[in-house]
Amino acid sequence: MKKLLILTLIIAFNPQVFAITEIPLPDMSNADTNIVKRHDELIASFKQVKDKKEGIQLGTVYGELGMFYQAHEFTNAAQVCYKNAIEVSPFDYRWKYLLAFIQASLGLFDEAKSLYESVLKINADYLPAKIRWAKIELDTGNFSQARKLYQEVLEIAPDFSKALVGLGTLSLQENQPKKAIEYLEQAQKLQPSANQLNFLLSQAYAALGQDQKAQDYLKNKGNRTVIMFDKILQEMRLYSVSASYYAQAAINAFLNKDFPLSEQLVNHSIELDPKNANPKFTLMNIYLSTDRTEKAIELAKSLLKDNQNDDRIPYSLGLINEINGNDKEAILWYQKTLTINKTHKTAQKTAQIALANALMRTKQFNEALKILRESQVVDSQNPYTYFSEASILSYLKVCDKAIDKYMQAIKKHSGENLTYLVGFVKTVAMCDVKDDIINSNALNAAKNMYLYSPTFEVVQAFAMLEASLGHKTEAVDYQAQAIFQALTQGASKQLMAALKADMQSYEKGGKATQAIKPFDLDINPKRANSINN
Amino acid sequence: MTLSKFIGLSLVLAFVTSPIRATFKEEIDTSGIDFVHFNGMSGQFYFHEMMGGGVALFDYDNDGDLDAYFSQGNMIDNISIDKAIFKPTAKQLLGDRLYRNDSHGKTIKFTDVTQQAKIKAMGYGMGVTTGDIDNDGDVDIYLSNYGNNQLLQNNGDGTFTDITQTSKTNDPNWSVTATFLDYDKDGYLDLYVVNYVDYSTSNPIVCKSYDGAKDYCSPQGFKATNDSLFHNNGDGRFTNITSKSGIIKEREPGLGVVTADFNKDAYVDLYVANDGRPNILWLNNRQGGFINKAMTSGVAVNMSGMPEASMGVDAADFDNDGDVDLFMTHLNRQTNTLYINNGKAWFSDAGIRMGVSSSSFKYTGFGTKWFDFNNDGYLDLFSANGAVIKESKQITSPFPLKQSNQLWKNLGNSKYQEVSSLQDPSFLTPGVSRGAAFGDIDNDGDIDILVGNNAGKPQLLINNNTEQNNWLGLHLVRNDLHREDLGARIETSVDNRKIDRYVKRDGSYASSHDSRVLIGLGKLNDKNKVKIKIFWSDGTSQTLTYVKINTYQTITREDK
Repeated sequence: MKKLLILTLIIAFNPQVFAITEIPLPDMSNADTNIVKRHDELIASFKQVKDKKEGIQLGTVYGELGMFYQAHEFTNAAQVCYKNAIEVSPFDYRWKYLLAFIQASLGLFDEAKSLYESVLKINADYLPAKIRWAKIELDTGNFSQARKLYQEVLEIAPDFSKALVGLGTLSLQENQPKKAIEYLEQAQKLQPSANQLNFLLSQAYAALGQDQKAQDYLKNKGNRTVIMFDKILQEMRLYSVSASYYAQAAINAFLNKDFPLSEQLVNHSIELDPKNANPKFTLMNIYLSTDRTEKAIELAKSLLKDNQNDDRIPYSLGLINEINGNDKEAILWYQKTLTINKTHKTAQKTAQIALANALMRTKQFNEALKILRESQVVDSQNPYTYFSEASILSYLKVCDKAIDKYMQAIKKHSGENLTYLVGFVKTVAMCDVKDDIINSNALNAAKNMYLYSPTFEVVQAFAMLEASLGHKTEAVDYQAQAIFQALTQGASKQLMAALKADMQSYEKGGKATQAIKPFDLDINPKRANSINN
Repeated sequence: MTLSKFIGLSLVLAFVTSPIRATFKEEIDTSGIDFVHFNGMSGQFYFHEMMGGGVALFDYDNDGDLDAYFSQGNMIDNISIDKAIFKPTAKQLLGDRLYRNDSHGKTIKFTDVTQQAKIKAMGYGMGVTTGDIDNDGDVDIYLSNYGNNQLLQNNGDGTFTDITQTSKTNDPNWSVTATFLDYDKDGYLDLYVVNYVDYSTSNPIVCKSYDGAKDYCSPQGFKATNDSLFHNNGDGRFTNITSKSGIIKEREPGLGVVTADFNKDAYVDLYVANDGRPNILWLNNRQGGFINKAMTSGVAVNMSGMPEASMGVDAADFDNDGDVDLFMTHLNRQTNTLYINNGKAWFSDAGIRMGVSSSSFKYTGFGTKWFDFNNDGYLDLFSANGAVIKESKQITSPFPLKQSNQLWKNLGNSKYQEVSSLQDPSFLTPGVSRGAAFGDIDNDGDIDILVGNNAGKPQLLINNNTEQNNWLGLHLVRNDLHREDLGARIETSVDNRKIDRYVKRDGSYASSHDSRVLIGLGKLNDKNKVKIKIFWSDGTSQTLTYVKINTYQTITREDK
């Protein structure tokens, strides 16, 4: 009885106590060989570390194994791995966060909430945990708790649109459409192309009896024009009058593309605190966004003198050179970034990606792939690395692997990324895939994209896919729409000729004639995936 | 809930006795119904295998009680029955079955009268639809099949005749459900057939689950097929007016359908639940056709702008504000959707605040209905659940899709509470539930539920409601049409609370219900002052005072 009481007390004060459990290895006999191979690699490295009993390292291998299982939907195994990771490395909040994600997806909401709460005890500013917790509270009708959490998020990050959307949704559920509109319109200024917001706003206006406005929102497919943020000054009242206040306000203005205001604010911040390098990075970004590349380079080099160990500077120089098309120079700066601070994983990760992109553009594909795969080991949850790898493999026509990587990128990305989906659909089309589940996934992706965002890229990809599946009528129909869009958006003669060549092929029941190009990182408006790329 | 809180709560509860009010109890084993659904699965994971299981409750012999009809699967494409994974037993006959209700008092008893009734339905059955298509006072049956459908005319003498060919009501597509409605108000019930996808076992697509093993497909890999609308010419024949009526303009993978006058213009409309695609709200244009207004009415997709799986659907005025609302069941990891009508056929997704969403997260719901299980005047909800994706904990089973069903009680304050665990334990027996038909099987004044389970025995959930609330049981008949008046509305009030109910047979999934209207009246302060107003489908109305309660009665349009 005494032991039971002590155990109860221990458990009461340590709600997430998990004993180490043997991993229920899933049956991989039907899995793709690449997946099996990756699994074997992870198990091998797990076994190597297991006996050493070093908490953090063991936690990491359990966690990485968990992530692999989670990615491939072996949920039971993922749960066990994360629980073991938490047991041996209880202060690494990643595993609690990822386990919470799984528990929520299984409807184990109380457990998920408890896990998010413990993540925040370790890292109080980890907003993804707070936002996901809030979403659970919202979905389970605990509105007051949801509101509290969303508001806490906004106190830390006033432009966190998911929190605004959450509060808007909550207000709708509480029959407060006016309040809902306030939140949602704020969110829409930050995410003008988010279709979900159109639906929510249509609901709110309908609730107010403004049917016409409600219907207008439904018809709005997402206007990509940026609405200038004109409440920056109101937000500034939230901050104390100091250098950091101006710096934060400058970031807000920058995010809302009010560059003149942002520059004014950041210069004021620098004036108040000239030794602080952070606002100078904001200024560098402003220069880049307003085509003052030379000034950006000058600023970066001046920063380099006094901040030799700050990996952001060579990274920025890499970025600037990349924007200017100096890929060789960019590669050198990215490589320097990676040598400065190997333990700073964020910089390492972003520099890796940037380097990979630069290598990709200079057709050093093997090098690029190597970097991307290293980056995936550092951060296996970043969808972009999988997307980049997929686009290289797609260009090289390594079809099976390209498709696998696209699917991983799509799974890891929360929400829908049109670029990834378009890449996936085009690759499936070009590769003449026989696997019906992949074809059906691609068709579903194309249909959903078309429904919610029928841009030129989406329509063109849809046509390619329909043609590859032998749906001649549909291919011709979508290609006609793509041609129409191209004409109205001023496409080049070269592109029009290519589109027409494809149309002729589709009309005869054939497939697309164009080769796929690797997709670029959209880091510069000049390099954005314009219709002529 | 953290473990420490759970321990504390358990200690408190151990010292508190709370009565468990089990209402529904499973009684199939003693009912005489020996039907077992056969889905013909042979390890090929043909898509249609996991979708069937429609059931119906209707009075085929006009003896005043509800009989039961079960749609059955079969082997297809000449695959030998030896290859079936769940082989039929010697007793288990293939083909649809009709059971006559021979119950007396509280003793439930059914008798298989399939042969006697001359019902020969050997196709691959999906759904059952009932209605009086020839206005002769007895209920006919339309069978939606994977393959050719069938129209069985009730001869009025306990037998049926297959008039599919002569009536021209066949639809060779994969039909899942259908409904009868008089869309043009000519007095004859027309037929709307919901079709799913263009799927053929002759060139099957092979689908795989997360572990790479073969699994059932989702509809996204297939082309959807048009629904069909057949106009009843009144002479035993129907005309396919799918094109003429505008129905052809939409092509989505339909699974559920329900009729109601959503925009209160006195013409019946249709709502079609589509699997993974935007749903359709066909508003009657009053000129022989329909227009899809789902998107601009807010019922095409959920609040987040996403289409959902949408299998089961029902329409009712659950909040008693004079307009018809919608409820739908979906896949697990989606949540049930409850759309509230604002009176102008504009709907808002209110499932979260109503408390019916998050509790459905782990379940895949099919058959569903709004009904008042305890006669307190508030419409409760039921969902027949069964997975379509392998349940990981059942992985060693050859058909790992079983889930338990759910019941939500309407608390009367715009909130629902799940009360599944308060029922008899037999209520929670997991099955691969699909269809669900609702009606008062034992005529004791409360609504029972017949659940169709894929590849298994059905469930007969008999309502043993002990709250002793009063009720009103009405069978509304149009004497000019010699049949029940589908779409008629009954308005009454209970303790100053207005209640609206409709005469209908459709809704749920692939199933058909008792057309009698059972209205719960609660405790009722003055039993002598129940007044009702009937709004007949032809636009006329009739007010009745001092209506008898706690008994069934037939009211014809002329009665005063």
